[in-house]
Amino acid sequence: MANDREILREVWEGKLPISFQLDPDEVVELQQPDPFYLMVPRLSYFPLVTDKVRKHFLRYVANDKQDREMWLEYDGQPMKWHYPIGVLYDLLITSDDQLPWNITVHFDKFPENQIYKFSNKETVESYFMACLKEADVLKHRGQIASNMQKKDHNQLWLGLQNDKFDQFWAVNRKLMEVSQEQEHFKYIPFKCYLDDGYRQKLIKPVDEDGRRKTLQDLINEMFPGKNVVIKTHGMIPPLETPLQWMSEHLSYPDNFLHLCVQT
Amino acid sequence: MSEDASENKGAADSLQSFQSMNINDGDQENNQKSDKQKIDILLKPTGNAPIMKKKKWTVEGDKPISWIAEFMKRYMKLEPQEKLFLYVNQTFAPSPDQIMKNLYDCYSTEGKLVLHYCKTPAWG
Amino acid sequence: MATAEVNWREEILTKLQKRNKIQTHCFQDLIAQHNKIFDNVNALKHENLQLSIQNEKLRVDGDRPAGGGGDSRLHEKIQILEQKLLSQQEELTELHRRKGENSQQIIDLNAKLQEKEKFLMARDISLAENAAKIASLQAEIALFDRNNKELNLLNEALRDEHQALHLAFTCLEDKMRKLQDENRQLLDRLMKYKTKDADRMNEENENFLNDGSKQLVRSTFGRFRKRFAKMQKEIEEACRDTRGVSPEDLQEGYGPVCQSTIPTKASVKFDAHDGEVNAVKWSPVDRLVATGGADRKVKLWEISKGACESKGMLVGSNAGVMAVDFDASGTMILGASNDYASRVWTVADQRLRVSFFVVMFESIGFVSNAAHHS
Repeated sequence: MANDREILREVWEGKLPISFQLDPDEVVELQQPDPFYLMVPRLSYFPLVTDKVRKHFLRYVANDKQDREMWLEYDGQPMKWHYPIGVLYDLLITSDDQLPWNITVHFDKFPENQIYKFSNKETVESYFMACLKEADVLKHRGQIASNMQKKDHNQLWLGLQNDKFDQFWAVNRKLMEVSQEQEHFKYIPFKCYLDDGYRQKLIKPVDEDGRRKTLQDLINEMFPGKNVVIKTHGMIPPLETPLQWMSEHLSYPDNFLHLCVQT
Repeated sequence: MSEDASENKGAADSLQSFQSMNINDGDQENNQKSDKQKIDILLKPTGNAPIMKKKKWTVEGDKPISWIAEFMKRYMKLEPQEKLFLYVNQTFAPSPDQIMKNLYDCYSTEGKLVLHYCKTPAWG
Repeated sequence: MATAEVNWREEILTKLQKRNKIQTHCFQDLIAQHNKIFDNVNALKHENLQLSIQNEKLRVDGDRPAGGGGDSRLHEKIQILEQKLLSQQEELTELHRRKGENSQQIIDLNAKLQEKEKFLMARDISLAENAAKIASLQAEIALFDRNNKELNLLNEALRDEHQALHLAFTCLEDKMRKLQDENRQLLDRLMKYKTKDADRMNEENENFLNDGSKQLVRSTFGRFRKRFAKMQKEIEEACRDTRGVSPEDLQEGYGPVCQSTIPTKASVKFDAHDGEVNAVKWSPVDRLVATGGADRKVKLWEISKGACESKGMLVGSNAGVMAVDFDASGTMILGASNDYASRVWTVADQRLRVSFFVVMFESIGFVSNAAHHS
């Protein structure tokens, strides 16, 4: 059971200072716009927090480009909006010295071959919900998520969107429950991020003997014979951390463990 | 998804190899342990979706769902603005960048990955 | 086991707290402050812009002459309104004028209407008068007609009277003529008897002379001669004097002669008509008698050897037949009736030939007959 509210709170509280700057080539005004500073929750997604950014920069770009979809770039890489912000930071930023995180804002030349378009927040929501369901398929054969009511889905989504911990966890608690007889999930929903994407596999939280598996077991199963470091939520969790506990407490709101693999 | 030009080229190449691979179905067993793992998939239409003549396909494991969807749209000659939704386990829509190997590892049954497809959203 | 668990959990908690301290708490206040300042700057910028716009406006207004922009704008507005008012007033006067014209027109038309009505009334009155006049004239015409009819009736009555008188007169004349004829015949007969007497006397004288003295005879004879001559002369005078003989004369002198011609015994007697028999006439050629009666018929009879045979009935008269006559040849019969008409029938076929209305007829009778009579 996800009952360690202290940990959950700390995870939820994680925010990142970001300095948004408009691409100087797209500025049509004489005056360069000031950078826009924002604290964004690690657990959220960029499309949910960048309305103000868009509004701030909109009047500095050409009229015909104002209706276009805004996209973000860091260090020459388009930002994948469907990754949680914390995952993106852990993947892209190696040292906290680079804070605040400098992100360049674009309105022109949307890189359709590298990132997906999110025409509106509903697209983000449906993506988020699909992830949630996939996680539940792994944990409970999809029984809990599919038996949930629409208003519970809405509460989850609004809790995330509005950064409301209690609202979110009131519903998310049910998704983190374990069945009576097993006391653990069927499989652990996780994604291991590598340079060229992420890997998924079926990994049970316990082995055949009923012993609790740890992060070390996961690394052994995923990357046999390799020396890798797993990073998530901006920290490197101890290898002896049990997988069931990790899944309950260190999952992102989409109920997946997002593990950045550093070799 | 990393480098656009090479990605496109690769997609075209993969399609050819993907089709040619289907001609000699028996080879895939031998290729299981090679660098590029081949995945058996079974495509099932749902709702108003057109039926594909060939349901069983073999595809490279590193191909993302979006690539499969594009291939299917071309194969069924759908209009560019028409949408195609793919579902796993008749439950959730996988992320467009999800690769076939991950899905195969997690959700395959009896050595095959079953993907349901339709033209309107089915399983919310 | 428990300590191990505590260790990894504590480690994670510590790491997360450290993370939040480094990544979040260091920047949270700073960025919140920055955001506040940023918002303030934006608000001030906006305010500044507004103020500069206002300032510009005020400056532009201030540059304008005639006591401030507000006043001049007000003035302009007033001017516009005044202009509008003026045009409205003009419109109003125009409308008033038009209204006056229209009312004048209405009055004129009313007057005309009244005139026409009066005219119509006069027409009606004259029409009624004329109708009355026509009625009175028609009544007059009717009156005159009645008068005319009465006069006509009177006239006819007078004419009838006149005719009747005339007929009476002709009857009397006829009677007179017949009497004259009788008189002449009587005179002739008297003359004959006188001549015979004279002859006989002459004879006696001769015989006397022959028996006695001649002398004496001669003297007596001479005397007789004188007497004879004188008698002859008297007779001739009488004859010549036929017309002048008066009935009294006749009665005085020749009474016995008349008495001898009155018929005393009827050889034939018959009922000719229903009612009075007004006229009879012998045919000049046959033994035919025509009779006219009050039964409006003319009948023909043949008289022979004491018997009478009806020969025909001539009808057509509308009143009693007062007179009948034959023409000289005895082929036609004339009948006069009390209906103021005379009619002619032919004897042979007994058909009505002519019917004429004689007003001024002296007497009934064919001209030839009249000539013959005279």
